[in-house]
Amino acid sequence: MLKFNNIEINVGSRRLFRLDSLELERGLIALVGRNGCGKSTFIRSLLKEHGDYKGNITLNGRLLTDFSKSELATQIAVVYTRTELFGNHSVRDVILLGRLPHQGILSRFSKEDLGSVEKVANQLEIGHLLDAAFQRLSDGEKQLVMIARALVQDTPLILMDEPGAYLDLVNRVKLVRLLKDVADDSQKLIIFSTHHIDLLDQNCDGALLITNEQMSFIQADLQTQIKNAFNL
Amino acid sequence: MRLLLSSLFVAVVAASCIQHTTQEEQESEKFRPQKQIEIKYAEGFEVEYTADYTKIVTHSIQNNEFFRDSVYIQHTSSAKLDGLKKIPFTLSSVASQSTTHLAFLDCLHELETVKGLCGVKYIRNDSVSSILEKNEIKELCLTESVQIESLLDCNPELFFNYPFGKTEQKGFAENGVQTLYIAEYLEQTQLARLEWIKLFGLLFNKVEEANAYFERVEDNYLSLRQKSQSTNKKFIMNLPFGDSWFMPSSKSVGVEVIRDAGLDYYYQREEGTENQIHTQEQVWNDGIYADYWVIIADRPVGYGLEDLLAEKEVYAEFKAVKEQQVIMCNIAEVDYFASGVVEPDVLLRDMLFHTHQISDHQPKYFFRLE
Amino acid sequence: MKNNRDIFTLVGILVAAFCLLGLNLYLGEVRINFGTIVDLLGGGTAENASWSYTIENRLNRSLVAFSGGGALALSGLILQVFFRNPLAGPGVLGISSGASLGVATVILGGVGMSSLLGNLGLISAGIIGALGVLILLLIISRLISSSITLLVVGLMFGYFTSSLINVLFQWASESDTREYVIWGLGSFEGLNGKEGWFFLVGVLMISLLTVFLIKPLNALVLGTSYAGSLGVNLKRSRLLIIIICGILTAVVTVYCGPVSFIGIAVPQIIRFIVRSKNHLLILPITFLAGSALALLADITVRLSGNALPLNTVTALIGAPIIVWTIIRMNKTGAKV
Repeated sequence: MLKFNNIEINVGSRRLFRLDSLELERGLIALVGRNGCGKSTFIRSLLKEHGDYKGNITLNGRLLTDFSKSELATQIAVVYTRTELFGNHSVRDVILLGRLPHQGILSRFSKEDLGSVEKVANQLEIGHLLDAAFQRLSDGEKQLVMIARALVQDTPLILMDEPGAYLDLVNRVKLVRLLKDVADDSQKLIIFSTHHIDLLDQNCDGALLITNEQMSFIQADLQTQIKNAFNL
Repeated sequence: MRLLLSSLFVAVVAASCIQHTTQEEQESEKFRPQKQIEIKYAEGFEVEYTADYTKIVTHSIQNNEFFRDSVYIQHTSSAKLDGLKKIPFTLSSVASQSTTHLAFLDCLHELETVKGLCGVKYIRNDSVSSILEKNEIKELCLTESVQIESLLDCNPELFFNYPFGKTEQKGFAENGVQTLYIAEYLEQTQLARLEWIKLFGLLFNKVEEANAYFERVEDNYLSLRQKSQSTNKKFIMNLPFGDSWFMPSSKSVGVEVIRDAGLDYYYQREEGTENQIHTQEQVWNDGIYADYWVIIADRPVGYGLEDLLAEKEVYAEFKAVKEQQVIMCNIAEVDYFASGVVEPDVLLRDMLFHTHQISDHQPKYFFRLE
Repeated sequence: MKNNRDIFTLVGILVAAFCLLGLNLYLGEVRINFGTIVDLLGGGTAENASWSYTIENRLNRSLVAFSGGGALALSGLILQVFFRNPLAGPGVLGISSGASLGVATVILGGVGMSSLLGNLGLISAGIIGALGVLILLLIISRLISSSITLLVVGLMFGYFTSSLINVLFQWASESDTREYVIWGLGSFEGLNGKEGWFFLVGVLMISLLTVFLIKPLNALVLGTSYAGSLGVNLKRSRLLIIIICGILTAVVTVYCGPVSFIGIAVPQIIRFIVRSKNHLLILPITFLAGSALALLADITVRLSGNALPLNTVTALIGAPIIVWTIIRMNKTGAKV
């Protein structure tokens, strides 16, 4: 689904990392590396918000550069670390926003859209929160809502930038397990960056590792390999 | 030889005697008592006469905001006037906050004494402005307030000013400028306003001229007023500003003159001296019926009836417009507020002419719009 | 559709706006009964020849109030979502001050308001001023993230332009200064003949452009990053917001003077009353609510015999609304 060729991600004059070639299909992939190595920049490049890189990235056979912003929104969804909502939206309202790329200019939603929201909410076990005010939820609940939103966006690829950063240890574990279930059920490709490597072996289908300005892909013994890579 | 010496002695004594007498006469010249004036109409000023001085008091009238001011004209060297405002027997340098005061001074031929004025550029009277230009008088107000430095520069013996802005007054006194409140505009009749010329007459030691002028104009005015007959016709006044139409109070002097010419004020109401504020639509409603429309306003020179109709379409429906009875005083063309004060008889004559009660007259202030 | 209550609200506010418009036609120092008003609107005549002009005058005022109030409320709503600040508005952010500066330059420069050159000059100057401030604000908003700081910057723009205007007073004639000061008090009066209709049509046409902002505004509540990921073209949206808010604010400010509080207060109430989060509904309801508020203010001004200036009335109504909103926001823990 996602193909990389001779990639070099830069920021200004500084090169962050290189990636020779890679092809990713479905599954849950972790993105690991030290702070500042380029994880967020990588995600932003895929979202076409960062254009300073060399090489080709193709998505389902089409060059990333060929996609318009609105087309890309039907292919890639994102979940960030924090959400600042302006307004007193309910959880349902926020999740519904995921349907925006599929709506016309008048942004009307259909019955199917509503049904989709209910289904995903139940899947993530937040169905009971649908009418609650988003602002009043805990950080963990908010992240679940944002993931629901990303799912409802119905894209083959979902990117997540440290989704568990502000969650406590219990919610963090629950989150990764949930992501695995989602990846398995929906056949999507989910890439999420994280610093918590202890859960990776049981849940992930692989990991992208950035060390020494180089991105590599590992598929087994994730924790051990990562530890070795950083001399831990 | 002895004859020569004694003649010389007599001559010297005679000469010193003569000098001595002249000096005495000079003394009494300076401090001769003022001629007195009679105040018939004005309520805003009073005069107190003593052997040593003449005290002129200006003060507020009735319900106006209170003020009181006074100035002393010194007669004798023994007058005890320490700490009070004193002026010499006749003023030689003055300054003024209002162009209206200059009209009074012009009547008394004392424009030469003016050293500073607020609003030099607003003078419309050519003869007045040429005198002021010749004497290079100073502009005292660049914005709304009086510039102290300019005022001190022209060093007037007396500064005529308005009774509001009292904080400024303190500033003047501190800097050694003597001021006198002149509030002729608070008087409620034309003749009372005109009578302030007598106050100026006292200040400039020209009481006879002032009295003569006043009596002449008063005579004219009263006889004209007696001649006028009620026309049973109504008039409205002026123009709107935005959506508001400020109609002069029925007690204002502008209305008084027109009423004296025999017209009835559409908005005749006895209460209050404030202007009445109506909405445009109210005056439009009344303008359909009003026989005369008298306008005193600032409009471009050469303003005519078409210009008036161009302002608002609805004016074409006014009775006064349809019957050609729109009488206008364009203050851009003639200095109504200044010289009108000293010529109320001319104002009345203009209005009598336009209401067809006299025929042999060349209007000066009011003109029929055509 | 789910939000029946909101449809009801939309219809309700539309009806209210029209009722207030009718009321503004009926009320006035001159008593004209309703039957005659309807006659006159249809082109008939009345017993007093000035009445047709009076009704035309009242109608023009009402049309201007309707359009102007709607335009300001709409701009305020868009600015609040865009700058993520419930206290943003065309006045607070200094945009109407920019327009005022443009107007001051023309009026105090001596060109009369009623001449044709004056009219065109005023509109252009007003738009340039408004857009100028808005662009500066956008540049600054990229540099500072705190929205409170942005408000302060907006206020500073307001003070700065006011000072510049005061400087212009020095060179202006007394009548020009008075003309400007009267303009500054705000009024819906002043348009004649058919001009009220042109104003309405102009405002409506520009307001209709907001249909292209429905999706962007819906998405922007999550922030620019999420909005981008939802397919919103941020550059184009930003440009459209500048143009729409700038021109609407400029046009209303030029013709009505700087009218305060409608731009901030109306979006506050609407966000509270309307349940739907879809700007497809929020935008028109906000517009109509602004129209209704402006008409109410105009009626109040006229009932006071023009003694109360427009900005005083809008402040009396608007300020309590804003304070109430701040208190309510504090209670729910929402961030300012």
